[in-house]
Formats: sequence, structure tokens, C-alpha cells
Amino acid sequence: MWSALLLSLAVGELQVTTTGFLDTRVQLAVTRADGTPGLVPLAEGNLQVKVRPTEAFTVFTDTSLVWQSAFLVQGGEKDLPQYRPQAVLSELYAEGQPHEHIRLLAGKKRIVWGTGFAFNPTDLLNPPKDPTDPTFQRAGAWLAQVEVPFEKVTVSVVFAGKVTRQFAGLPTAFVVSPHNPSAESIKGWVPDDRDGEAHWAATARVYALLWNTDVTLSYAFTNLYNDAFRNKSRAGLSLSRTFGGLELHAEGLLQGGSSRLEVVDGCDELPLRCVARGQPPVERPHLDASFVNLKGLVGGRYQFNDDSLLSVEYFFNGDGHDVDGFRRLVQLGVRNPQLAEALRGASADPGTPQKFSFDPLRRHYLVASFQKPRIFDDWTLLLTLLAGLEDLSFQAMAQVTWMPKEWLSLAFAAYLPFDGVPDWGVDVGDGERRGEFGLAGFGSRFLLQAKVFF
Amino acid sequence: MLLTTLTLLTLAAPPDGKELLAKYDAFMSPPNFKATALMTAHRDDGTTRSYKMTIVKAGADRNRIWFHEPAAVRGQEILRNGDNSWVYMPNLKRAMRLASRDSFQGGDFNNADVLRTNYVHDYEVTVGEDPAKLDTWVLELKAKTAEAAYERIKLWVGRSPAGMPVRGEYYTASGKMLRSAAFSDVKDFGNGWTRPAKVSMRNELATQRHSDMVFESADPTVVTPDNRFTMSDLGR
Repeated sequence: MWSALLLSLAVGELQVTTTGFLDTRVQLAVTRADGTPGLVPLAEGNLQVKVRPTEAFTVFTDTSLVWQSAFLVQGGEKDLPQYRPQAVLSELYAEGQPHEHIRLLAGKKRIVWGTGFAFNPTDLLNPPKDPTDPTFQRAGAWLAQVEVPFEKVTVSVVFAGKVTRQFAGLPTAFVVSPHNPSAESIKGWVPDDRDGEAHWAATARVYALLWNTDVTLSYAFTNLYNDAFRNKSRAGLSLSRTFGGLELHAEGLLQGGSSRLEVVDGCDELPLRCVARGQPPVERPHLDASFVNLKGLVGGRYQFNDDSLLSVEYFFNGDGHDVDGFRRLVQLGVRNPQLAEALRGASADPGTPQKFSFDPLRRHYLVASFQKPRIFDDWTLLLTLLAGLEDLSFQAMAQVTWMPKEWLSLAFAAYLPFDGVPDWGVDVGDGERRGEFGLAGFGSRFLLQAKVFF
Repeated sequence: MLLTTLTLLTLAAPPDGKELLAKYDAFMSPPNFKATALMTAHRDDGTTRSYKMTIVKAGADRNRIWFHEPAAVRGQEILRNGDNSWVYMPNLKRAMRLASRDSFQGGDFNNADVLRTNYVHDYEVTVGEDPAKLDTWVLELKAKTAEAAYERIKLWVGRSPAGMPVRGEYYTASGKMLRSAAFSDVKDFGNGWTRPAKVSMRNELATQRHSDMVFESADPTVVTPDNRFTMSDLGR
């Protein structure tokens, strides 16, 4: 690698491309739960550098430094770890093409084979993304890839090792837990995160351009990688094609069983009594089940003559709860917020701080977005609706973006949750009933953003 | 003398439409090339947005574009392979399918105007004359594939050199004009390729706006390797 770099420097063939942005945003929110901030200022400096010593070799990094803080926090805990400054190493990889039909890649990269926009059921590797703005999650996974590309067929094999410990956004352990417990766990501030197991994933896909359709068949074998499955095989299929001005796509993942976390019947009201009699209040009863489980998405996009863009997707989450399971989970959380927080867990590498985070707990969702450019001058209007179809709760997002200069973008966004039909929601105390999108710690939120590109 | 020339032009028998259209295609887009181009979108309020890009083409139906400026779109790429087109979005870290008729970077060209320039393949053609422009032939094009950019196109091409683009009008099936183009600044780019360096496309639905595409440099001898026209190569 270094000899190729030095040689290219000597003969002047080195190509270096740099880009990036400085993004500042301020979020004001109505809080509805403890541990939720009313004011979050954030500044992100991003730099992307691509170095090509030769046509066949590339080194790339996409790195951000994020300063953020949380103010007006509801409840007693004022220091929220997820709002601390951090580095975000979204991508850092080297890629070589020793032969026309062989590509090798190693490092951290976001590889997405699925065609879904708001959700990617077949993506088992990357940090989750914001379904109301999927372009916001830039972070990938640490992996090695071998790819065999042809004009209309590509075969890829990937091995990924999970980050098992990370500080301020920088990884310190992969695949297996570090030998020593962290200082925080020794002092009892956080649970010991070591489990002595290997956390890894191997995935492969065959992409083919058939009948003017993108067809991707994928297979994944994972062990404790982003979920609780051990030695789990899964198969995926994704499709995309245009019909005139209409783009249609579908993406699905099939697996045996489910890693769904369920509250044991009766433990939602008195979880400590369950613990006292040796019964964990929650369990994953379907981890080794043999029933076939599906996560799938179908959707389409259409651009109108005035350049407006309409996108609609339906997402079926086979891991989602039925109404009783969801009610027990919510009631456990309402009565024992600290236990619920501990059970939810946190990914070692959550990636870029998101404007809106969502972990689907139910089964049926609809995502619709409408973007109309040039509503006035260079003002763009974006309306997004993320709705749960079982309780008709939703998160609506309205955003106006103005680009007064080619290098400057100013945006104002409002995130408005709707609690859904009360009769179809769950009791959250005092007789109040809410649907899934009414359960977030935030009520309405307002975001001001200024972004400078360079 | 002028009268004689005009009379001769008027009396000239129309050439074969398909041959003339093939010449138009050859002027606009030879089988292989690499070019740098600047698209400037002129907005309703008089401001402009400029996009600098590299365009390569191989064979009749493979193109790829890399956007270099402005910084907000740097890293975006477009690939066309046959009837299929994709855009690679650096923020999304993946490619998405594009429709031929979608707007090209929000300007007044659509994707097919830039990527799909093999009109002989996409359109049936008949030849006529325009009494107001006797130094041109008028080609009436009718789409023969759903992937074509427009249902109907009316092209004015020069009689000498035959097929040199002069003006275009682009219509819906119902006859509504969507866009019109003026081809100008004919330039010899070397290695036997001469074409209008500037295409000015006016949006007839919002006539305050137009976009100019200017080829700054072009080389028809550059043959781009096949592996640059695969979806898996996008973003690399």
C-alpha cells in the first residue's frame, strides 16, 4: 500500500478529492418523559477524503467531529451520555481491484444492498437510520469484502466483526469483549458489557440486472451481531425497477423464529415479584423457534412534471408485537422506566447522531413523503409521515429548506407526534391511552439547521 | 445569387430521415467520449446554479457522470446502462434507480436529454421543411419505446453540414410543449468531433427558467473500461 502511494506521489498521479460540511442545529422540544432534553445544540464538522494513488486503489474516509450538549433535561439525571461530544468515524476503508473482476475492501463501510428507502429489512450490519431522513445515517460497519463484478452480475461476500466496546465514537474492541471490565462497570455505574462470546456476521449476495430489474439475493449467517440470534441463517431478496416515470421496489428478509423481547405474562405489573421468584420479567421465547418470520417492504417513487417527488412505502415488521405483547411491554416501561431503559440496551456504535430515532415495535407501518422544490425561489418543502397502522399513531415531519447560496443550506423542521386512536392505543397511566408514536420521550420538536458545504 | 441558393435549397429532395437522424446522433454523441461539461441553471429570480461534471460514454447506450461542483452534490454519480439508470447518493451510500423523464439535477434538462442521446434507437422519424428556415430540415420524431424521453420531438437540423443540430422542441403525447432547446457555438473538439458546444434548454412550463449545458472539453478517442459501467462501481 505505502509503496503504491509513494510511487504515485513521485509520478504525480495521486488523485485526492475532498469534500465535507459544517452543520449546526438547535433542537427545541416539549418533553414528555424523564431523561429527555428540551434544548439540544449540536455542531458537526465533517470531512470526506478520497485518495487514489492508482486507478485500482482507493483509500476513503468520512469522519465527523460532533459537539453536542443537552439542556432543560426533564427529571433528575442531567448528564445524558448520548448527548456528549464524540467522533463519528462513518467510513474508513481501503479498496483495491487487482483484477477487472475482483475487488477487495477492508475497513469500515456502509454497504446497503436493499432497495428500501426508510427501512432496509435485509440490512443486518449497519447502525439504524432515521426513517424520516435516511440520508442522515452515514456510518457503516467494520468489515472485509470480496466482490466479483461483471456488467450485469455481481457476487459479494462480506465478513463483519462487531464493535464490542467504544469510547467517544472510537472503537477499542472488536468481535469479542475486552479482557478487562470498564472502569464505569467496576464502579457499578453501568452493567459489565462483557459476555465472552464472539459477535460477527458473514453475508453474501448475488446481484443481477434481469429484465431491466435490479435483483439481489442475499444470505446472512450471524452470531450475536446487532441482535440476540446465535448461528442464525437468513435469506433476503430485493427488487427495483422503473415503469416510465414510476420507480417500484420491494425488499424482504426471511428467518426462522424471532429475537423479539417479550414481557412474561403478569410481570408487567409487578416485575420485582417475578425477579424474586427467579423468573426474569422479560424473555426471548422465539429465538430458537422454527416458524418462518418475514420482514418486508414494498414502495415506489414518482417525480411529477414540476419536479415534485412522492415516495410511499409499506413496511411489515414480522418481529413486531401483537396488541397484548405491546401492551405488556409498554406497561412494564411505564411502571419501571429504568428497567425498560436497561432492557432496551444501546448499540456500541450508534453511528451519526440522528434527528429522529425509531425502533419499530409493532408490525404494520406506512411511510409517505412528498418533496416540492422551488415553492419560492430556492425553497424546498418536505412533508414526511411515518404512521403505525395498528393504532394510527404517527410522527409527522414538515421541513422547509432554503439554499440562498450553492454552499449554504438553511432548514426549519417541525416533528409532530400524534398519539393515535385512543381505543387502539395502550394505557400509559391515569387512564391515558396512546399509540406507539405517542410513547416517545419527546412531544413536538422544532429544529433549526444551518449547513455549509465545502 | 442568394435567390438562386435559396431556390436550390427549396427544391432539394428531402434526404432519408433515419440517415439524417443518425448524423444528428453522431454530432451530439459519438460512440465513445470523455467530456467535461458545465450546466448552469438560470432560476426564475435571475440567480444561477452551476454544476460541473465529467461525462463518459461507451457504445450506444452506456454513460456515466461524476459531479464535481457545487460541493453540495460532489460525489454524486449517474450511470446509464441500456434502459436502466441509477443515481449514486453519497449521503445515502447507495444507488437508486432513476426514471429517464426525471429532472437532471433540478435543472431544465431531464435525465434522458443528457444520458439517452441515441434517437435513432428511440424514435420513428419523418423529414419535412420549415419555410421560415430553409437552411434546415425538420425531423418529426415519435417515440417507439416507453423509455424514450418524450412522446414527440421536433428537431431542426442543418442541411450543411447535414444533421447539425439547430433547434429542438419536446412534446407530450397530447401535443403540449414541455421544453425547447437551442444548439449553438459549434466547436471542433479535435479528433474529428464537431458539435454545438452549448445547448440551452428552456422549460416551456415555467418560461422564466432555462438551463445551459456547455461542453468545455471533449475527446472522442477515450475508451472507458467496461467495469466503469456497472452498478457496483458507483461510489468508487
